[in-house]
Amino acid sequence: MENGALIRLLGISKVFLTDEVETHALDQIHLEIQQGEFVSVAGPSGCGKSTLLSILGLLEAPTSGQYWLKGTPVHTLGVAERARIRNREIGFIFQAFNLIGDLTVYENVELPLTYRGVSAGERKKLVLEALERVGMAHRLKHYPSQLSGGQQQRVAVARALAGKPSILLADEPTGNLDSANSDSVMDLLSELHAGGSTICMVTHDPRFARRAQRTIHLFDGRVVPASQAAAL
Amino acid sequence: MFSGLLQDLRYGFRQLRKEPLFAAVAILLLAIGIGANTAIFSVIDSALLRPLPYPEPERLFYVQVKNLEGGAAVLPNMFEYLALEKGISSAEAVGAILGQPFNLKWGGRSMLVSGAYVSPGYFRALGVKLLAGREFFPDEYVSGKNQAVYFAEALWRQRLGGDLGILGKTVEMEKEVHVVAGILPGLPSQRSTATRGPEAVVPLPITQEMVDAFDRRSMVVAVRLKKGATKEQADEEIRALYRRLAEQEPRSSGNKEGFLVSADQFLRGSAHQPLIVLALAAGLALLLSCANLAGLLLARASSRLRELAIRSALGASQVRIFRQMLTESVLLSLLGGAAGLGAAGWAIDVLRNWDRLRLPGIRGAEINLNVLLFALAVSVAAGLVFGTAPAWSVLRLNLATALNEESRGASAGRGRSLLRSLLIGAEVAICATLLVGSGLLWRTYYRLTQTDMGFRPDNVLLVRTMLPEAAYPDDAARSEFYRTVLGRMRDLPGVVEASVTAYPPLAGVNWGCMFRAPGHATAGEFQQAYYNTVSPRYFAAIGARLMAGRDFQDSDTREAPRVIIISETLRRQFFPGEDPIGREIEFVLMGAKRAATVVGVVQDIAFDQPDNTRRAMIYESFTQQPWAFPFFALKTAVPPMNLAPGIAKMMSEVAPDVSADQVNELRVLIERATGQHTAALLLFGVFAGLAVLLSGVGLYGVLALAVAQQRRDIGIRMALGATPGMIRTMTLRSGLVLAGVGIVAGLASAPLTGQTLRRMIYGVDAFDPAVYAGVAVLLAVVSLCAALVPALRASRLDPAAALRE
Ligand SMILES: Nc1ncnc2c1ncn2[C@@H]1O[C@H](COP(=O)(O)OP(=O)(O)O)[C@@H](O)[C@H]1O
Ligand SMILES: [Mg+2]
Repeated sequence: MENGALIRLLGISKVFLTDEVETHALDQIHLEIQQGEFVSVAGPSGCGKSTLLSILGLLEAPTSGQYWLKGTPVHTLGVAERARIRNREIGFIFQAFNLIGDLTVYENVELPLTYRGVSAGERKKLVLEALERVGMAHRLKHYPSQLSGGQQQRVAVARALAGKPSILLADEPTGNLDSANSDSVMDLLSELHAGGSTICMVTHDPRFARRAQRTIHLFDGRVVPASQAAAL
Repeated sequence: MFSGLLQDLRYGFRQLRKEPLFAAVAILLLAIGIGANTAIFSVIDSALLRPLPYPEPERLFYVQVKNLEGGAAVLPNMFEYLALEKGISSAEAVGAILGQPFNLKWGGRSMLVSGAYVSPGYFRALGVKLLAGREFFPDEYVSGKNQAVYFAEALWRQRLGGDLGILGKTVEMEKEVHVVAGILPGLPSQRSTATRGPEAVVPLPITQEMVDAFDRRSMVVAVRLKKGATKEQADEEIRALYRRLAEQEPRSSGNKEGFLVSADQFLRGSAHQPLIVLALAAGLALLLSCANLAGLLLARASSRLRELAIRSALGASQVRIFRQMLTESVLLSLLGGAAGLGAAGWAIDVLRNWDRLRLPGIRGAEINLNVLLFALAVSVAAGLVFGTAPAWSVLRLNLATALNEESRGASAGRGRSLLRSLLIGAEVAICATLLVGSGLLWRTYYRLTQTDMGFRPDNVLLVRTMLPEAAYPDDAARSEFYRTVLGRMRDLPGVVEASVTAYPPLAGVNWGCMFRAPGHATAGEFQQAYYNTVSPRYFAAIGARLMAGRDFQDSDTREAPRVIIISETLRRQFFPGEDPIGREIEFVLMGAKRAATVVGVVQDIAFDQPDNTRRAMIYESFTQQPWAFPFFALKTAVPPMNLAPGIAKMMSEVAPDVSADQVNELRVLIERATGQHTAALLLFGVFAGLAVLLSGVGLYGVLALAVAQQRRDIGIRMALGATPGMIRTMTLRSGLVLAGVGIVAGLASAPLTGQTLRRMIYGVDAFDPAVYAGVAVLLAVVSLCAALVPALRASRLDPAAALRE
């Protein structure tokens, strides 16, 4: 198994059961992501992109298949253990920003660090560092509702970065942004990649997908070759 | 305007029908709150608010006497009454009444009836007219000639046949012939409107013996002031009169001063305190219901924003929307009030039929027009109270942003959740206040029931008897009677010990007497003590311990040297460090002076309340000083009431002319003495329990709603690596913080409760740390339980699903 990949998915499937109807959201996915890679995931709506990211981020367990993260199997872990790994290894960036409205910018970024039990002094250093990197260090005391969408997404990126995770998972990070803000968020992700971060990003926009080193095409829960994807 | 209201109402009804569960919960909450208040109000109405059953009650007053050196107010004695009767020029009428049970013979059977002696002015002062018959003649107020009687209407109708032909006929009462002079209307007792008045009333004869019994302060003196006369004028006259009496007879009235109290205070004063306290408790419980409902409505307002926004878009003014929401709440509370009225009727019934509960006024409590109006007013007020906050919170919203609120996530709606949190804090605070009150009442009650009363009430039977004067004219005849009856009682199977006493423990009556011990440090000076007379083995029968010396014996006959037993308190006060056994004592009882030797010391025995034992008592032996209306006290080996039939049979054989119709366990006297405490404790406890339930439900509701509304936030936290345990802790903590704020606020304001209850809690510290700590812990545990389900639900959330929404 040991071949140095950060992430290895072997035959991952995900079946949802609603009202007696089975939805095969993912079907036999094999996938490897190397340390430092910038991968984008593309495909039509409903093809399983978000589900794939949820499984990569340990938010959801696969119905079958194996998931190796940094050489360890994580598909067998319990809920609490998954939460701990998620906290250390994964940084999430969502389309809807998903900042917590009752918390300030500073507190939002601090949140994953508190779950990890980082000391207050260390937290402060990491939070400021992350906010500095996304250019939001001047808005510490603001609440999310007082920020523009682009600013909120920068804070969300900072929150994902702060804990120095192994991989950033971004699900349509520009989906709720206008084009100027989209560009600047994408620039930010490119910068992070240049700085060594591993990124897996879902996007509809071919312009942004091109920024990645590699694009995985999903169709109906399956990975299809790029040539075939273009045909579809 | 009116048609607008109808429209609002119609719409309100439709809203309620659309959400039957919400409507049911709301109506239930209101029914509990309004029902409790209505029930208490009906009792207050009966005990305090209904006009006294006397004409122009504002002119009716009663005389009380205060000791200028302090102490509780007492009643005048006969000596003082005689002066008062003639000496108040601002009075239209002055009269006195003296309670006294009578043995009435009717249809060949003896029965004990509650009775009284009255002076000529008494019914005039009250303003009461006879239903039928004639007034007592002036010469009937003379000793030996007072052989006329008024019967109360109830006794006359229920037990004497209800025939007016009885007027002018004679009946045998106390072995003497009495002419039935008149029928009295139903009256409350002379001391309290909460109890029934005397059933048989005879003229009060005044004898020198009564005048000389200075310590017998049991004259209820009613004064009706002249029209236009003021209480101040009369008080001035009475003060002057007492100054004269004090000079004339210091043994009676030295250092004493009479004053008037209003009829309302005299007859109802004792009812005020417990009822007001209960009303407060019930009011707080209602407030709690309202707070809960406001919380529910706030939650509902959130889900109705869209509808309201549409209405406003269609041109409804803010005022119109406000009115619509208030109409809905008032409609709800009127429905709750109707249900509450039913609940109140039921509660009144339960309370009335609960023997151990002594709630003043409960007997007359009913749902009358006053009570209906009260329930209506409370319902409307409650509707306005719990409806205003949600309606206002909706008004303040910019409805346009309200429509976007959902899509923007959690940041909006913070105002409303803050308001809900405040409500919960307030609920828990109210709850803490009520719990502290119950805790203090419970400590008082517990202390009362756990104190050493100086006797053991288990398996003791009391039989009250009355010896007709004519059949047992002297002490010798009475002594003979007791010897026979006691002998027969001891022969009954199940009787361990038989004895007789003038007054049992906790009866709250005994005579005052004066005594001195010649050759003692306090020499010469007469001291105040209290007197009772008991037979040999009485102390053994009731389980009181002899501390020194011996019990009375059958050999202490009327011919033998006079002996007494003193109480532990008297020994401590007057013979500290000395052996009192063998000491000679002189004492004066009802004007008669006698000397006796102390042969024993008995432990202190509760007088009126279980904890009131410290009385300087002098006991004489029944064998030397028999009494005509004694209680037999029997220690039994079987449940005491099992013996009642055997005793009745034996009595009818031995002395058919003696009534023995009051048979009770001694335990019942304890229940009677503590009945008011029991009532206060139970009802207060019920309200506190209700409060705990309501605030628990309220806390649960707020947290459950918060969890439901924050699903997304919780999902985010989980995505960031919060474990289920962390989410659980977070939810529990937020619940406990809410509750904690309430607990602190409640405990901080609890001293107010202590202050309100101060006359009902005694012997316990109003700041009892155990009570405060107990309340804090209890509420913390309840809050934890209330928070547990929402916390578990939060921790089991599927983050992927929550984020997808
Ligand atoms: N919790 C769920 N229950 C049932 N079906 C689901 C659930 N989550 C996703 N799906 C279904 O799985 C498929 C893939 O969904 P998703 O991964 O969200 O697609 P994408 O992000 O590519 O639009 C869709 O058909 C969706 O309806
Ligand atoms: Mg998606």
